[in-house]
Amino acid sequence: MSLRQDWRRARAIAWKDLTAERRSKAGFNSVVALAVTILVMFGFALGPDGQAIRDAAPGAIWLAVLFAGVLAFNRSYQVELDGGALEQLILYPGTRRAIFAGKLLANFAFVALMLAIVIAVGIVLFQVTIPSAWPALVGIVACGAIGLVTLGTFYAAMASRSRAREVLLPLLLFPMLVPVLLAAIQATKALLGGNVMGDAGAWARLLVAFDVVFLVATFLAFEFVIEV
Amino acid sequence: MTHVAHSPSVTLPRTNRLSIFGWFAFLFLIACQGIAIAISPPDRDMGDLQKIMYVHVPAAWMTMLAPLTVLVFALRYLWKRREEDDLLAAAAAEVAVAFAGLTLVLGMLWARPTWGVWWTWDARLTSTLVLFLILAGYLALRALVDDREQRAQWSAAVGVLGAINVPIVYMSVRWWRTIHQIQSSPSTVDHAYVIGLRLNAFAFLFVMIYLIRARYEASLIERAAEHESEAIALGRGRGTAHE
Amino acid sequence: MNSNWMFVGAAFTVTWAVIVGYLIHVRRTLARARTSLDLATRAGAR
Repeated sequence: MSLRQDWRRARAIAWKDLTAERRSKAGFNSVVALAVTILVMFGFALGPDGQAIRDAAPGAIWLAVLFAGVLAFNRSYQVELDGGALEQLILYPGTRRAIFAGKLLANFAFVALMLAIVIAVGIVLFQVTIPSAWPALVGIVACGAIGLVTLGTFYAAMASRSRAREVLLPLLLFPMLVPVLLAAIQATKALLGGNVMGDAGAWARLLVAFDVVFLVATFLAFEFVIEV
Repeated sequence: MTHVAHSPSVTLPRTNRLSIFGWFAFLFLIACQGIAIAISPPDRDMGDLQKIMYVHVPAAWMTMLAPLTVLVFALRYLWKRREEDDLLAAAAAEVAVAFAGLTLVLGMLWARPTWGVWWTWDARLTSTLVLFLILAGYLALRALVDDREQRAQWSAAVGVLGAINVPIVYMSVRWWRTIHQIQSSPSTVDHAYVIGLRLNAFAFLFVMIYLIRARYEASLIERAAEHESEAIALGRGRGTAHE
Repeated sequence: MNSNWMFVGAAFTVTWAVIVGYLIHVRRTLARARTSLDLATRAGAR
């Protein structure tokens, strides 16, 4: 199967997922509302002292996106599950990797948009000062999102089709996300603090390395997960 | 008329040989622990607390070895699709969880008198905790998936990814923190303790092998029972035709 | 220094508790499996 065909297939699936999402506005809006709510809850748990809350900002933002994101990941398979379309989708000629790629793209768009909103709210609530190196910050957030979406989409392929999917996805996903989360949060923290220790670069490089490893691993493993 | 078992290639295990090995493993462990405690002098800094090393370090080593076992059998399953490999991987994961939990508790029992706190977020303890959670997730997956083929294949994928994540987690947590003393590895351990440590490491290894094997054989019998019930449920012409 | 022996003792106790405990778990699983195999076999041979 040619790469171009795969890419077209992936785009088609991503587009299908995103339009289904757009039509059900309730989906995106409620998940984002949940993320913001979680962020506020963190504010109550960790605030109101200024310094404590500023230190906690990166962690709170990423966790809020993570907790709300698991709902999005499970739901990204919901459409096919409801209509029994998953078996049909696999039957189409072409690699299952295109399915994975398509879902990755759709989920990434979803999470990226959610991150933008949550970060905006976080900057306000947690008294964050935007650093001059904010383009680098955008890069780090993007890389963190890639890692999050890669593993989330992969494990949701199984969790969404099991019993107790709301419990199973976090249980499987969270421990696996430790490296990505640590790198993303530490890099964010370093940048927000003006990168005094200079370790933002090291964490960023680690984050990219993690993304590559997990992208490759999940692409290889997805075959086994979707065919059964 | 004797019935024919429908279970495929599942031979009922000969528990006698296994039991003998089990007895040997346990007695050997007791002996090694006794020897180690008897011949080791109190450490300069830690005093008698040093003795914990003879259970904590081997437990930690087994905690690293067991996921490796899961990885190997998970890969074999994905390659050959033999059910035995899936059952072995699952048995190894269960034993791994037990050893991971043990390592954590022993780590805490060491940390408290040494640093005054029950938990330090240092690289090794934390990585072990994450490994514990990864394994727990693996077992939860198996518990929540009923379709046998799905369960085996998904477990294998999750097992492989989980196993390769272990060194990655360790690396990232180490970047994050560094407090844990380096005295646990034999290269930096005082000569007086190395023998006791190696002996106990082997003893733990034997015990772990025995436990995995025992759990695996229990799984085999479970499978045989499942096969029988299924065969009956599907109606074995012979039995009913005799009425 | 004497209190350290408490921790050492606790450590060895926990170790054996976990090992023996897991062993008991395995044997119980084995017994349950054997019983269900027995029942299933007998039901089939009827």
